[in-house]
Amino acid sequence: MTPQLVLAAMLAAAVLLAAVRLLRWQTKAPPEAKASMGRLALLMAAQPLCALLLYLTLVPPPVTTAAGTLVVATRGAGRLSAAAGSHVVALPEASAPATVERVPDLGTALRRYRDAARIVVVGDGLPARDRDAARGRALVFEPGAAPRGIVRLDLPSRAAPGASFAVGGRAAGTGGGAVELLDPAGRVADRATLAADGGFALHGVARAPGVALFGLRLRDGGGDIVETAKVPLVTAEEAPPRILLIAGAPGPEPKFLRRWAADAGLALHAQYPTGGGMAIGDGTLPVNASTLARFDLAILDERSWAALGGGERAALLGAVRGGLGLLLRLTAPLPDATRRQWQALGFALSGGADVMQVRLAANETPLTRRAVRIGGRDVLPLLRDREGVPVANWRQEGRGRVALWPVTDSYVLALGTSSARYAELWSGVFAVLARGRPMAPPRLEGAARAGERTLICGLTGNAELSLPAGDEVRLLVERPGDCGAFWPVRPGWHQLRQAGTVWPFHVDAADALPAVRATEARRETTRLASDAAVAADGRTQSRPGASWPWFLGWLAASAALWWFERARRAPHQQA
Amino acid sequence: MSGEALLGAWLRPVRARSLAGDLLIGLPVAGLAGAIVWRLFGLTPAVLVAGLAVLAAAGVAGLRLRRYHPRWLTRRLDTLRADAEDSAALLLADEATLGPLQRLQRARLERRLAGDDGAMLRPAWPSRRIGAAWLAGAAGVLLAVLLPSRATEPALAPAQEGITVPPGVPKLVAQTLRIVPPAYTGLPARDAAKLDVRAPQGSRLAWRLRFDPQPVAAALLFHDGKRTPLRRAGDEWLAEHRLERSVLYRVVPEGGEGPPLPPLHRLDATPDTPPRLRVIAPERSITILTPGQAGWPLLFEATDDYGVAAAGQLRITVTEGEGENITAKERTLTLAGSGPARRRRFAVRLDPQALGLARGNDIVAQLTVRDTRSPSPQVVRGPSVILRWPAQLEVAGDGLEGLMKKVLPAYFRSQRQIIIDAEKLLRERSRIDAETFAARSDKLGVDQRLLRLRYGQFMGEVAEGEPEPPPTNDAPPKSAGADSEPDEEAHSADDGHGHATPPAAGGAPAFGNVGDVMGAYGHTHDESEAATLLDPETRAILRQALDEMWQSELHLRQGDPRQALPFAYKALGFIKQVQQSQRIYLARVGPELPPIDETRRMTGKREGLARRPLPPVPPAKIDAAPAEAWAALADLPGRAEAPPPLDALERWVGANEARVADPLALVAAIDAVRQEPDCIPCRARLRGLIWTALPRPPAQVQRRDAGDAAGRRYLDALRRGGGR
Repeated sequence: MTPQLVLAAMLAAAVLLAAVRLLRWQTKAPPEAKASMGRLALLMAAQPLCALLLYLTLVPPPVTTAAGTLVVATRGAGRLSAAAGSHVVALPEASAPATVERVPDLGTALRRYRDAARIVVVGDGLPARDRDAARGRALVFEPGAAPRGIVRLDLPSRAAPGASFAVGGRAAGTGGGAVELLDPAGRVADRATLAADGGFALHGVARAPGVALFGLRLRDGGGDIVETAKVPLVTAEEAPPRILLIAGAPGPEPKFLRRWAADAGLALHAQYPTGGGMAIGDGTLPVNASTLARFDLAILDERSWAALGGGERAALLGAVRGGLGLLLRLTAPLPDATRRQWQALGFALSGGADVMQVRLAANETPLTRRAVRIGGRDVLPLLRDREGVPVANWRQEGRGRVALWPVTDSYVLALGTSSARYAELWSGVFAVLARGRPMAPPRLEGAARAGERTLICGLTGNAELSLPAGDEVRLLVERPGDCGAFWPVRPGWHQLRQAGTVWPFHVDAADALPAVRATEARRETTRLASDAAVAADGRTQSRPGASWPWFLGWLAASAALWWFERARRAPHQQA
Repeated sequence: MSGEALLGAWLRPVRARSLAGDLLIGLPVAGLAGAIVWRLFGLTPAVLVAGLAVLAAAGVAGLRLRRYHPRWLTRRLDTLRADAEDSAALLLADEATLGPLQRLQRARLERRLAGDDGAMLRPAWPSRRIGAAWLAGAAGVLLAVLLPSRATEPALAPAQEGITVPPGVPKLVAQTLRIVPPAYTGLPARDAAKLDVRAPQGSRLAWRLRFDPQPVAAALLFHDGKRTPLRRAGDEWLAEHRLERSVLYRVVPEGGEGPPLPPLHRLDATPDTPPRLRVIAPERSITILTPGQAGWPLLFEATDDYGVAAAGQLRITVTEGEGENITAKERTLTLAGSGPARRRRFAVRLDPQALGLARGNDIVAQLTVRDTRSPSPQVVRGPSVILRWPAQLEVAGDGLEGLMKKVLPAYFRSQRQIIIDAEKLLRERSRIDAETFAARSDKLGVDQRLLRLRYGQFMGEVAEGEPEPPPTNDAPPKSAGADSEPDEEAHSADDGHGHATPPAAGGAPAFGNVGDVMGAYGHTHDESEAATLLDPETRAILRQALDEMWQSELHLRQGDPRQALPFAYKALGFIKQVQQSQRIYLARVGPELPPIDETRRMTGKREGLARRPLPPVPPAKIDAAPAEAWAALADLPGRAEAPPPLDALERWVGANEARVADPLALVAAIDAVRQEPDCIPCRARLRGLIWTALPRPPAQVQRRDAGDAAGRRYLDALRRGGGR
């Protein structure tokens, strides 16, 4: 039941009512007062005419207009060539000449030019603000010059104190060149030359807990600075993983693991069951489900693995499926039973009788590893040598992760000049393998940029947001796990407070990373254009016509009818 | 000569004398004026003024010249010479207007004056005036140059404290800082317009400051708490300080202590670096005395940032005795350096004989130089250079060998070398006589035999004599080492590199020792007895090589190298095959321990064995102050509520100055934040400096996300699916 039908029914009823009334007047009137048949017919005929005109006033018939074109200049738009019959508008970001009409957004422009059947977007593309307005319309995208600078930047979400973090991305249009990672003091912390496709990866080291602003500097092939960007890094203490270290015998590797664990504040329980009921260590814990539930990662070597009973092994694997990490250090040729058990876990193992050298970095002491080849389904690399060949591997087993570690003397790194390298290596390994933390921090959907809507997901409830100016904003969330949105105004560090925890995050300036934004706008606008090409195929453009001519007609007809009805009756009554 | 010409000739020296006298008076006056102007206004105005004064003197002298006209000359002539008879004026008169008597008198006069040079007419030197002018000029110039004057002090530069104080509170408005480096540096004193300066350590600093309005008192406050009150002189305030170490300070007038405090200024003391000493000759630290060497030239070069003392001490140590009974004699020579003070060279030529150097002993020379720093010069001792007279060459003490001297190691030749030598011998056959040819061929045959015996050791051939160490120059006498084992230690210390070295280079292994041969041709760390050297196939090839060698040796010994060559080539080919055989190279492997028999472990006596706890590992201590300040200074919302722990940080900086790259910069940044807690750039700068001082904590573990319920369901399903 559309409104038009309701309206038509009401008008029809009114016409019917009027006709009945006219007829009753006619029949009840004294004969001398009876109108002539012609007059009655005219009055009867005028009723539906007025109703029709009223209907058309309220619901004017659609008119098909000549299809116009709206040329929209966006940021980075070059020269605008307006074809005949098209309107040219410029969005606020565009640097168009003053003669071009400025519109605050695309929606305004579309309301202003209703005849525009086609939108031509010139420049980098539509910002997020205008994409919804353009959805479903015929859209043609004429991109400007390809963006130059950093076109993709992958930032670390968080880093543990002392751990290393990676910044990746891609640069375009520089003709080779290099990127530099600047530490908060402004010194170059890492440098990398751009790959053939412009990709790069840089590594830095987080220090004390807190927020830090690293910098990224892109230089072109000639060494000139093309772009600088900020790399915000949040360093926060994590709940340290609890580690169970079971080794067949004391040795340098367990010793240095204990040393590092003590320094880094990890809770490590070491036990070396040397056999025959003798044990060295922090006390012998039974390997069962309740013990393993208290740990996040278990590290065994092939001797302690072989010494486990069947029930203990089952308990261990059960705990792994529940989330525990398991690392098996290979220090000697694997017994056949162990090899079979690990092949059942999805690893394909071959060789391993010999040892060989492995170099993790170009200028690093070579380490020794068992010459065992590790393969298998869904096996991911845990450690790579300097050529990028995987040395150690892991795979997902239920909710936990299992890994094989064939390096026998990583402690050599701790003895060398760069003892931090040892901690860095094992920190990375533990980060992959240890049980995940139950509560994930909220995360930003995409980059947060001043002046653009920002989405924060993974909220457990309503959250307070502290803005750089000191104001407080309340994020409303319908269900736990949902996202909340806010509109940052100023760049800088923001703080999200939720359930007693504080999550700082950084909002970029509105003009930060122009090439990244341009690339995103191009991608999204291209997608809109391809969607529109499908949607707008074979559709005619029509819009509601003007209602005022119909209104005038109705007014004239009604007035004439009124006059006609009254004019003849008055002399009659006087008479 | 006519009278007029004569007068003209006499007038010229007169005028020259007058001009010279006037200029001699005028020049010192001009010089004095120039010196005064130079002292007051600088060089360019001085040159200008002196030039003008010279011009003026020249002008005055020119004016004075106009007195000396011919009429003056005639009057002078009449006055000075009686025989002029008051008629000198006739000389100027027109001849035509003169009467006969006048002409006669004029002719007489001309005759009388003809021989005179007119010297008596010249005016006397104004020597008293010249002397007075020069004396006055010299004294004035000396005074102008030497007299220190207030007018020469530079004007005060406007202060740049960058603070606004309420009206009526004293504020620094002008400043200058005079830096007088220590005299030994030879650097000139200079005036700095700014209060932040860098100067050599030990410089004297003198401040001249002006405040507005005048304070009651003022002081320099140093960052370590010291306070130097300012002394008032007129409307300026003075202070002095001796720069021993880099400091921060601020100028605080009385009444100006309230906020805002004046900013900190920085004085950097650049320390005097110790001299650097380099040996130019000899090129190597040990020189071997050549026979007949008369002198040992030494040349050292010492460089310093300010200057090296001209005298250096050369300590000469001469050793005496041999073996373990060595004594040393020391003496010291004083050397005079040459060249500029910053780069002095010390050369000496020592005479080994005069110093008493005996065979088997050394002369050790070491130069000690000092720089010109006062009061305590920095002493640097250079590297030692050694002159060695090698001990008597070894004489083999083995009775069986007689008195044969083994001068050089008698290494056997390689098969390739034997071939090369044989071919060379054949080429030279036409030039040498048959006897020499036969002798050389025989020697080659001996070499071939040695080589054959050497390779024969691989085959276990011991037919021709026991293996013995090859005679070498630096091997110990056989009597000392004959009964000792071959030096296994020396070999293992050299492992990994032994392929190219001759087997006997590292010690004195027995000739043909199997393990050592492996060191040369293979690589093994096995027990030499247990080593499987050659597989049967390689043995067969080696057997053929030995046969060919034997044939080659036969023909060489018979003086027929041409016959021997084909066999030698074949032998070489076989040896190459053996060397290329893979079985002889043994891969380096780690220790292969036998597998542990778990059933037998811990089954023996177990008295005294107990469960043992591991020793506790104390965690590394990391200072909390910088990390806390780092976190507190973050530009996070709500920072105003918690003031950063600046005092703790400053204490930490004071205690850890050595660990911080630039402690003063850190102190200054702390002060800036303390003055303006809300200054965002100041906080960012301090944070950057803290970052450089932050120790890297031991890497902690970044925990991964466990995923949400859907993720967990997915992983569980994945495992069940994978199990199928």
